Amino acid sequence: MRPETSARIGAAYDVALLVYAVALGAGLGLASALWMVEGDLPFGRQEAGPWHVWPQIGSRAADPYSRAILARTANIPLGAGEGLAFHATRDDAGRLLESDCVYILDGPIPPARYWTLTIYDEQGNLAGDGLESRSITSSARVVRSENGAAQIVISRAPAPGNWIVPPTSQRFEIVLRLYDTQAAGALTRFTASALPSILREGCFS
Amino acid sequence: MNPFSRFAFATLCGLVLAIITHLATILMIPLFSERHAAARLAESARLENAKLIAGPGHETWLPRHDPAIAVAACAYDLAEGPFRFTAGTNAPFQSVSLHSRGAGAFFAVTDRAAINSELDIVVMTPEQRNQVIALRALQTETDAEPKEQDPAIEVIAPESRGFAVIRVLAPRPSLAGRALAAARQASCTIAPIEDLES
Repeated sequence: MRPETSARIGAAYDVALLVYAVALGAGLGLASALWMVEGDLPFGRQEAGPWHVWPQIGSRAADPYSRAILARTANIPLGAGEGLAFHATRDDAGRLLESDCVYILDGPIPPARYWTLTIYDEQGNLAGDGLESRSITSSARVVRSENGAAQIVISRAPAPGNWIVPPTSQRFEIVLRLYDTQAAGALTRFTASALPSILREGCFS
Repeated sequence: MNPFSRFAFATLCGLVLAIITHLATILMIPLFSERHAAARLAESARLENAKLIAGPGHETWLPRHDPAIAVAACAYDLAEGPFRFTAGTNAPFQSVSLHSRGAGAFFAVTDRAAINSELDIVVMTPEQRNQVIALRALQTETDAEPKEQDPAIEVIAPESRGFAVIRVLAPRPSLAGRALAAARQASCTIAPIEDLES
């Protein structure tokens, strides 16, 4: 081989390496970024029994990944001080919530000026239509027993007391929102005993 | 360098580039996303009243919206002057929060902060805030009669553009109409600095 030819091959190899490095950087960087912003918020999640909460998303302390996800879902989070939203997709035993089963929510709800309990299907749509729906309840609607505790039954079939209906989709999500609560704050640690338990009573079929 | 070590070096450079691209993308998504709530609210900047975006029996693009809450919002641009957001507080619960693209939710207040059953919030840039302080100092020096006005909550915004959101609670379906009306009536105006002296 003549020296010029091998020099030319060397230069072509360098260009190819440059293109390869840039493509690797851009491709891997973009793909991993997009992968991170699909799905749930990755950081700042607190677990309390079956419930999880992101106490920071309504404040300046929110991490960049959460902000990117909120931006892509057009979500406007509850500000720190406005309220907190607790989410549950599993029962106390860790099984996914299913529309074919009967669940009982029992236990304390952290003090708040007002709370709502709402059920969403897998796509995040509200089950039923709005406030008239049988899939929501709140501190204004709930019926309490003599000792002040509120038991809420989630079931397809009518149940006495506080009864709400799951959506028609197979899985669902429960969201408990506390408005104007002292429980909000970066230093609060939530424990399972501060929130209602979600017990599966049994399943249809 | 032999061809293999050059290849390894290029891979290493690619990985470093990937980390930079990854971080830059994550940081830029909130600033440029077309899906961001701020992008959807951009048109509301010209309105004098908040634009209803969600509420009982109302179609919405907000994900996982609470049907007991009426939500209205308006966008602001502080380049035109300080932004004043005013809402009456007759509902069982209501709150106002301020958001911007880069900083996210940067301020929130409930109706507990209301004076004479009105929530009055003024959003300013740091420079506008300094001008207001200077004007007030001048006013005390000249012993001018202070204007009779309830003090507003003054907030310094991290970015000049953003939006204010009002949430009004309807505890029962029969109160849905009142909550929607209360959310829509929140007023969004530009407050000239001279008006903020008091």
